[in-house]
Amino acid sequence: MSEIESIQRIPGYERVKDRLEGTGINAGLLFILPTFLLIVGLLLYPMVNTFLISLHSAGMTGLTLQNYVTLFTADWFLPLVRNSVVWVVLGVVLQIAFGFALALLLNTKIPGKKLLRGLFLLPWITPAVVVALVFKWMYNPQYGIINHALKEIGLIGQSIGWLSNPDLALFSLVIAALWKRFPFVMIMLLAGLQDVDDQLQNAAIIDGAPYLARMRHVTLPQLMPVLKIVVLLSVIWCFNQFAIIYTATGGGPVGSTMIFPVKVYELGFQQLDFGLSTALSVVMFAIMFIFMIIYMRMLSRQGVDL
Amino acid sequence: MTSASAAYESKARRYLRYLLVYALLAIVLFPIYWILSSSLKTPSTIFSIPPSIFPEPGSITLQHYRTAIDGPMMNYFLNSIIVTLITMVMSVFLAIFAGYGWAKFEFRGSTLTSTFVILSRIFPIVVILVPLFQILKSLGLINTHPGLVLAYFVYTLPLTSWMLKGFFENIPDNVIRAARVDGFSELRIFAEIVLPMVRPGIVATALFSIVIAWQELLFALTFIQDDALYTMPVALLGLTNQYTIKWGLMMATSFLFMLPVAVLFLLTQNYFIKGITGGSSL
Repeated sequence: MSEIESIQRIPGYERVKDRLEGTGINAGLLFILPTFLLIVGLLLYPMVNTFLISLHSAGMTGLTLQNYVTLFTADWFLPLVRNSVVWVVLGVVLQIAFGFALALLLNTKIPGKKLLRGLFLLPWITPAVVVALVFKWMYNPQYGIINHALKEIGLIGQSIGWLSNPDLALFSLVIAALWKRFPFVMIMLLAGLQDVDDQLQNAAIIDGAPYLARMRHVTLPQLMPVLKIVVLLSVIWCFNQFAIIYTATGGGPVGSTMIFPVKVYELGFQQLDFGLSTALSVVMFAIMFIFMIIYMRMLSRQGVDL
Repeated sequence: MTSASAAYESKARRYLRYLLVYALLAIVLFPIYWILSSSLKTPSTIFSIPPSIFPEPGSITLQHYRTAIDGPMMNYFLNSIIVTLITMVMSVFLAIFAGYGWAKFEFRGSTLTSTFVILSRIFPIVVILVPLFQILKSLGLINTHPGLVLAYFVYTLPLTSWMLKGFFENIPDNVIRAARVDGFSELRIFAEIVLPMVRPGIVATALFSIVIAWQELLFALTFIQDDALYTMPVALLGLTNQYTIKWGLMMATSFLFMLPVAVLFLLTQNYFIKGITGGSSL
């Protein structure tokens, strides 16, 4: 206490203290400031720049919407949107379905559960580039194990070009993304299942409620908060995914696996058209923004906050 | 949930459930097994039709690993280790302070800034690729490892500071208040009382930073142009650009690349799970 008293005897202490408290400057602000400024500098400032660059076009002076005109009239634009939608929707649905099923399965009594859980999580920490390479190898039309296995059990007669057939390539890569991402969904939902009320569950069992009814009326409602965050994070992950597709197909064949991030990279750093690349980035950002607003609205209407 | 459903389960159903879990595990782990298996096959057996599930004992070879180690791969490996470790140390260091500040202090703008951080976690990062390239270029940081580390903060800082915020929030306020009453300075409270209590959180955020930086491709591909500075993901991608893909070498390199993180993960699983679930263990 004597230390504090001696500080308080310093002239002007109270005045400085009041002023600091008045401005709200305290240790907390100093603690967060470096991180906060870095995030702002590395995210917000470039985002503003993205917008500004997109309004400039080569050979034009001043601000112009030329890049957006070029973008929306490009013959690859609609296929790009369609591919991205398929990639995100199918990816998220499969990841949630598979991850949820495994979470339910691993939430039962199983010997060696801890090790099992760790092994199921291995795809999650497998680098995306490696995921793309091993799937590319397994999908190989001549030597790939998948074609061979399917022929062996008689599902297909001829080898299939999983990544070279434009009708199939995107779906083949959705499977690769599913493999990498389902463990994340599984572990999040497994954590959520720990919080499901045992007593409610037991009461439902005693009342003779069948499994699906218990799932619908007891488990799911309590899992909703986690599930909504998982859906959001999975949408972001799919929407942002670059490495798997770029490594496996580079967006081909004939643009059939081209999604937003790959196209942003291709326009900016292979065709060196920064204007068009940033215009596409702004469109991408707008789509995400609109999705977020709709999603948050839906959540708040159901009384769940993130 | 577990206890009740187990009580009503017949023995046959129980074994069926075990069987299902292990069958699914086998399918899930098959690609990883296939990387290892392919990397050990001689060039002639790797292209055998039908492919052999297990490499025949006589044809197991380490030649692809030898090629990988003799080539420039070790240099790329080292680059990846350097970039990953620096990213990890700095992200965790910054996030420790930020997490503490957001969790335990009230100041003007606290809610606003922390909301901004959670929003940055769901930001589509590709969107800032071009301006980030230009910023790094104007700072003279393009084509350098420090520049890459700086860019990786975009991925790591929102995650690590948010994760650590959660861990700090789990510390009861009374612990800190009691220390203040006892006349501890803020710095001493932080270093001697609070930090030891969030050690699992620090480990967890360090591990997450490692996993993120180790596999990052987009920024490494865009911001590093000098071959000698490539990280492993870029180098692996480069292997696909050859006219005939050397699958054995590719799989051996892939295995070497994923091995350190996989081992680290299996050893520290609990920390990962604490990190992902915000401090609670399963």
